[in-house]
Amino acid sequence: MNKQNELENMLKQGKQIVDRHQVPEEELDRRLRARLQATVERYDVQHVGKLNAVQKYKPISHRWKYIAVLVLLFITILVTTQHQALAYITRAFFSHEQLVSSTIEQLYKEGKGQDLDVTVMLFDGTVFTLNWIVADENQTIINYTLNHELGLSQAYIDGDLRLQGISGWFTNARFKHGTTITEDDGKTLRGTAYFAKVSPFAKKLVLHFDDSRAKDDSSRTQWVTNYNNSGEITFKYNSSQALETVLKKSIRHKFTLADGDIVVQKITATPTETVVIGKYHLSDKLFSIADLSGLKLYVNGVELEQYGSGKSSGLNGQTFKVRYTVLPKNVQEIKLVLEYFMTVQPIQATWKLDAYNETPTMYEYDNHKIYVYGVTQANENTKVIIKTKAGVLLENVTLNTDDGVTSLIKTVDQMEFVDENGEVWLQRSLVFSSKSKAIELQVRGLKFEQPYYESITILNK
Amino acid sequence: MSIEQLVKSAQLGDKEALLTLIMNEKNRYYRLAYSYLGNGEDAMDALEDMIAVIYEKIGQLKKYDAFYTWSKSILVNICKSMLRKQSKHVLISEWEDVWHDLLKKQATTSFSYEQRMELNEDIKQLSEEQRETIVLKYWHDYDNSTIAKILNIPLGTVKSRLNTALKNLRKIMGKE
Repeated sequence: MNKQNELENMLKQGKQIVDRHQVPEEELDRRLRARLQATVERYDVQHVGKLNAVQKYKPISHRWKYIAVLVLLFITILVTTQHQALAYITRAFFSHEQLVSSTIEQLYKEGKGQDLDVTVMLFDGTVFTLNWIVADENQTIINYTLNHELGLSQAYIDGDLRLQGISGWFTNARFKHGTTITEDDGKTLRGTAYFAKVSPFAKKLVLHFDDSRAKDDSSRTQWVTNYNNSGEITFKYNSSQALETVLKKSIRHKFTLADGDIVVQKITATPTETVVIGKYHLSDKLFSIADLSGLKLYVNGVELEQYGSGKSSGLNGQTFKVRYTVLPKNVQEIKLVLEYFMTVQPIQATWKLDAYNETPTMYEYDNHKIYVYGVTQANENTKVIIKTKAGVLLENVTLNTDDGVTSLIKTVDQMEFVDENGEVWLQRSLVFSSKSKAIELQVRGLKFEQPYYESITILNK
Repeated sequence: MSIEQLVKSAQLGDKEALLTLIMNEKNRYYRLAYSYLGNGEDAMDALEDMIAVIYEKIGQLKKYDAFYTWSKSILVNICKSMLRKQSKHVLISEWEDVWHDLLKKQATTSFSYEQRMELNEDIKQLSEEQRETIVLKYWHDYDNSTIAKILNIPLGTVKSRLNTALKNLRKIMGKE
């Protein structure tokens, strides 16, 4: 066979290597169904725009400390239960017919928001209008518009008008995230901003924003007088129009981990999102790596998309909040499943290194197998090729060379394998900046997703 | 059901029809995304994004039998977008790994060690677009016309990229 044909045959053999990847069929089916369902439910969204980066919250100074919270509780007890505001705090309202899943805009179109129609003028003549608000126990959403007849400044289109938060009576709702879309003519920008929840006792709220352009812009030729330079817009708020919570349930379940526990306390499902809150009891180290991507919510057997989770450590202990999309229609069953949780196991490993060999050396720590294939040198870098089960990571890795110790820069060349048991393995190269001869790899910990597969039923009709 | 029937049903909102269309070529989609992204988890994410886009846009598809080429074009764009967001400058993350496997195995070729090392250097000289075209043609078995549609480039450009790439790789032929 001549070399030309041999080259083509060699190229074609790449197909055999690529074909070894087999998609995990069940997982793909499950994920596609969930995503399709979420897409169907959101399909009414009229605007799709760029997502502004989560903006830094500039603390709104407030006078209320923890004592004020106690005062609020005291007042709450005294106030009659006729107060509309209490209705959505205390009532766990669940109605089969009312478990609707809608987009925020759809909610407004259904008459479930409040018109605000408050306008201020910015320094260059841009009109900033708060159009409407949708609020519930989980969050507050404001729809707004920026408009300039001569065309908006590119700075505003790029997000230079930063919304910071909403303040008011017992309200300190910081900005979480937002989306914007600019019309083709460049004159109007429509935005939807998401904030934490506002107090049901508030009757007047203040939106705080930062207009950095107002401080030193010289590009606009049209200037106006009497523009808003306070960075605040005050508007009336009617808490009786806040949306009712569709499901609020105390859970109080403890998932016991190998080192600590996770206590899930409550689920609150509103027309805008579903939130699960709780507490961790973990060491500082485990808390620092804790994330709840493995805490899954299944509604009628379909996984509900998780938007994200947050955690904090303070007077209340280690608390967490996990956010999921809205519940769909016709909920029959809700299950919460802890499928896995990140944990770290300290090890003191020193592995001798040789040149790359197809037959690796295997090291085992508590059922975690690590295969070390060896070292390759490329330009200024040394690569150490290893393989572990997917989800297992090495912590605190350093390379001992004949010239000293060097730290891991990055991980590259990842390749996935599925073994005959269906287990997924990940081979990759650890890259160190070193031209010297590599002697040993030192590893001080293993980080991995500890599977739990513990499931609790929150609701079963 | 034929592809035409499935696409028509999907256009009417039949989710099962859409899922059937995609699952019928699940490995083709997965391997395509994998070649770009270099790992299974990202490939799965890309497939999820793909179904969302297909659902929204399938009403625009006029030629039913173009569904697979059209959907793969969407998938490739999603993969490239993910790579950009990850600030990755390589189009094909799996490229080096597959070549590493091909070159190190003595049995796959009668090229000497030196020739394999030279081929390794020649491979590095290929542009990202040339690599992408080689991958789609030889590793994913698409013909030139399909590659042109997936990448949304002229057929002539596909042929030109392939010719240049193979010419570069064949340089070692003269050094036997």
